[in-house]
Amino acid sequence: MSLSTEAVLALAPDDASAKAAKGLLAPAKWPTLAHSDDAVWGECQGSGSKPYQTQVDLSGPVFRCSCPSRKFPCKHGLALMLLRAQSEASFTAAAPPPWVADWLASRREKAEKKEARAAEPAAAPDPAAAAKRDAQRWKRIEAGVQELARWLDDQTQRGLAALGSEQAEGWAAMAARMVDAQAPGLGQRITQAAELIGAGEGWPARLLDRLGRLQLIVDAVSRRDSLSPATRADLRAALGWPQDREALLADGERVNDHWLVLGQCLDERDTKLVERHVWLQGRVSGRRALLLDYSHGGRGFETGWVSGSERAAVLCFYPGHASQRAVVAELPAEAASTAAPVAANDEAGEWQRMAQQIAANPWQPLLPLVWADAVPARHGDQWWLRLGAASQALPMQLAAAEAWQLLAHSGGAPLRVFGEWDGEQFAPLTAWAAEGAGTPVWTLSGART
Amino acid sequence: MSHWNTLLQTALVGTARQPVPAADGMAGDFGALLQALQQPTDTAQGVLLRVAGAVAVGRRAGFVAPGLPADDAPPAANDTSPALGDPALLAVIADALAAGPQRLQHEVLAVLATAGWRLPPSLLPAALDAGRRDTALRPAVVLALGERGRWLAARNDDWRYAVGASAQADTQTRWDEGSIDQRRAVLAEQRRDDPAGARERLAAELPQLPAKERAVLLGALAENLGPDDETLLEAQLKDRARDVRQTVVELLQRLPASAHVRRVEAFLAPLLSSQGATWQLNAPEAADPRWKDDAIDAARPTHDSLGERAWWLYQLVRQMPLAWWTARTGLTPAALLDWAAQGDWHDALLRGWNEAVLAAPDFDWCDALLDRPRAHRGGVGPLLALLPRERRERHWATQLGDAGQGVQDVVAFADQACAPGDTPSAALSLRIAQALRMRVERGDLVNDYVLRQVLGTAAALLHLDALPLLADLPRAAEESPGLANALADTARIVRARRLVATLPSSSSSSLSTSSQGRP
Repeated sequence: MSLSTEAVLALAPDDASAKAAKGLLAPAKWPTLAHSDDAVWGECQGSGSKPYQTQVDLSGPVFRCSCPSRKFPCKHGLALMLLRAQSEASFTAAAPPPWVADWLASRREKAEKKEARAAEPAAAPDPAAAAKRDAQRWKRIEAGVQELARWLDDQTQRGLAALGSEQAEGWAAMAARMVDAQAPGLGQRITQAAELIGAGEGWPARLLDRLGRLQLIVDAVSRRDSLSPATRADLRAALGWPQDREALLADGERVNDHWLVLGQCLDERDTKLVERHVWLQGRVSGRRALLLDYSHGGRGFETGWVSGSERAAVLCFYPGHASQRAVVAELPAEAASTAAPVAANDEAGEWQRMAQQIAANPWQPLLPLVWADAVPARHGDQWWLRLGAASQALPMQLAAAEAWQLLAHSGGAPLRVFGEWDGEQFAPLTAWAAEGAGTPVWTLSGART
Repeated sequence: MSHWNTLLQTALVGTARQPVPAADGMAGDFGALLQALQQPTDTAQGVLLRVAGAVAVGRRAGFVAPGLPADDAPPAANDTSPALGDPALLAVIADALAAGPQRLQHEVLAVLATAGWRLPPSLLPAALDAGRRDTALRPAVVLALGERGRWLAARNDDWRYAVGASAQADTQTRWDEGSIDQRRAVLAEQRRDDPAGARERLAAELPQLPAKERAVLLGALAENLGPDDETLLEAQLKDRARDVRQTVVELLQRLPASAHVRRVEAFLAPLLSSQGATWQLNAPEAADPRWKDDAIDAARPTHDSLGERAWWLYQLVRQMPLAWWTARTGLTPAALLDWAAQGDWHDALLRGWNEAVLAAPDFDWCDALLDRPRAHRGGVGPLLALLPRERRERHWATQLGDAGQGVQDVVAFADQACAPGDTPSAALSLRIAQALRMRVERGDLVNDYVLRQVLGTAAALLHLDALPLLADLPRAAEESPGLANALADTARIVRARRLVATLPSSSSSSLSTSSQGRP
């Protein structure tokens, strides 16, 4: 399938790249524009005498360019795909020239090698050494968590009403202490809880909710030996214990399916770090999966996903109950196709699914929800998503510019909407016409900060 | 009170002062769980948060979305015109809306609407925002919105200007419910066939309107103005709002037989006298209390460049039909301008005549004013705008010169004179484009910052036939960022206009969103 303008722009590492790419759309800038079944390529006249050689492997899409930019994909790659989206006729069908063919071949080779490596039995890790490392880490966490338990009890003895900005330092110190104790997940939860203090009406209730759920993790740490392996895996994830990728690929639960890309978003964690969520749903398994990736310094992501498209893949799920986080184990190099419209439960079914998800693992911070008939609305100063014919609505977390777009697509009529639910706010990522084709009418664009 | 709220109360006060409440009210498995959590153990540490955590997870799993008052507004009506779906054209329009210039924005919107298309939903917020920033763009925005766009505009106070009755609604609905622009259009339309009916429609409404709308709607009487309108206009001379009085004075000026004009003449005539073949003009010696009935201010604005007597004279001149001067003196406009240039009251006369021309256009006066040395440049563009194209372009052709040395001024004036959607003729555009290209090829852009700007203005302004001359301008290997920007901007505008010009009519093509076709 060829990507739409919006889908290409969604791949841009930042707004500056998108803007620069739009400035390169004159066909006169491109002495060569050609395509084969697997790739498109072109030569773009830059400021130097030699044009930049830009190519895109459509199976990804994966970009490559001879320009010196550190952005990925660079403006030339984006412009090439924009041209492809906007004026397909400018491209001539051709056999790839050597500079394209060599790259495609090396990519295939690498993929095969990777597969071969994956097929080989991994070098048997030393179980005794691993167990020792684990025990050491648990010991550190245990010590940190005991301190946290006392500190939490202190806070509740004195009462939340006594909290104010003057305690910020103490909370930051406790968050840092948790990172030292090798439980960064707890540190992050404390930092997030500290941000709630004094923020908006009803903050004590939101804070109590956070601290209460934090206490459940604290309790679980001391009871870890009595927990089932799956619950212990959930606990480790909540503590921020990193998952060893090799081990996961070796032992994780594999699901082979055609995966519909429900939606995706980029969150700017700080100036250099971008976190990407890609949500998938298996056509056969019905399983929903989260691919969580990070990119440093505008380098972009290895694999691009197109919301609303579908592609075959084998995913490997993290251990735990109702696990949704996964990594891609195998991704056959075939182009993505436009998917059938996402199947959606009725409203009650979707709530039921969410409740089961929470019952299985109360520590998952984000839950994916698909609403079949949802109407975006503005009420007061807040954006809402009305659900079905009932008068119920979810508060929406969405930048104003994006919300107006979504509203324009709805026109007051229902849409099929996918988004993330954090227990308080719904953050929409993708919307389809209620009875339409698989191409979304709206996708969240740009990075959230 | 729910168990959660009693827990919250304790949490706020602190467990040091208030014991953790018992979970008595809770039944079933969950109640049993909470009670088990509160069994006395060896330590009471964390009990409150433990119970709160359990309840928090339960609340999360059993979340019930809050109710929202029903929305009374119906969904958007179905659109009759198709939404444009061609990706290249949409990208060009999105770019124009985001990056301008205004003339390009107007062109893409107008071409779209004229060909029978409307904007797709994804471009509606950008178009409505562009209209919010720039009032001159609003008519073009409104035409391209479709039902969906009007529905959306009604939901944002910033986009109020675009709300109004549907463009397809009948006259009465558009008059009763329309935006101010729509109401003015209704009046202007009715004035063409039924001037009296339109006047009565306005007169009935006038007392209830705010000042700004009074001025705008009275302005619509300019269409098909006649002696019958005098009574209504004369009554508005005493309006509280200066804008309204100003509008009325300009209209009355176009009725030479009106009482207002005769009164102004009575003030002005004694000041103009002849001694043999020479005409003498004097300014009023003192303010006349009767002036205020004719919207003449005795008080000079503090910072006005005219002196007090000149200020009085200027206002009289401004309100006098220009034909009076030629009839009274027997001189041509050109001769009158020469005469004024030698007299004491030159500034007052020139300013007054200039405004009189703008209020009641007279081509001979326009030409004469434009042929004079430019006393005040700011007035040139509006004067040119009054002239029909050939008379206007005569001035530009002269100014451009054989070697195109005046090209920067011509582009600047033409930009002022051509309303959005209007362009210089193809022939003149070609001459301008040739002159510009010649200067670019000569390398003038490197040091001429004004030329860089003029280039972009010309790209958006000139006739489509001249655009090939501005496409593919020579690029150097080493360009400063400013120069590269100017050239890239020019290329962007040229490309956008040439692409938009290829837009077929909606009835003869399949470029709508439903069929994702390509040209």
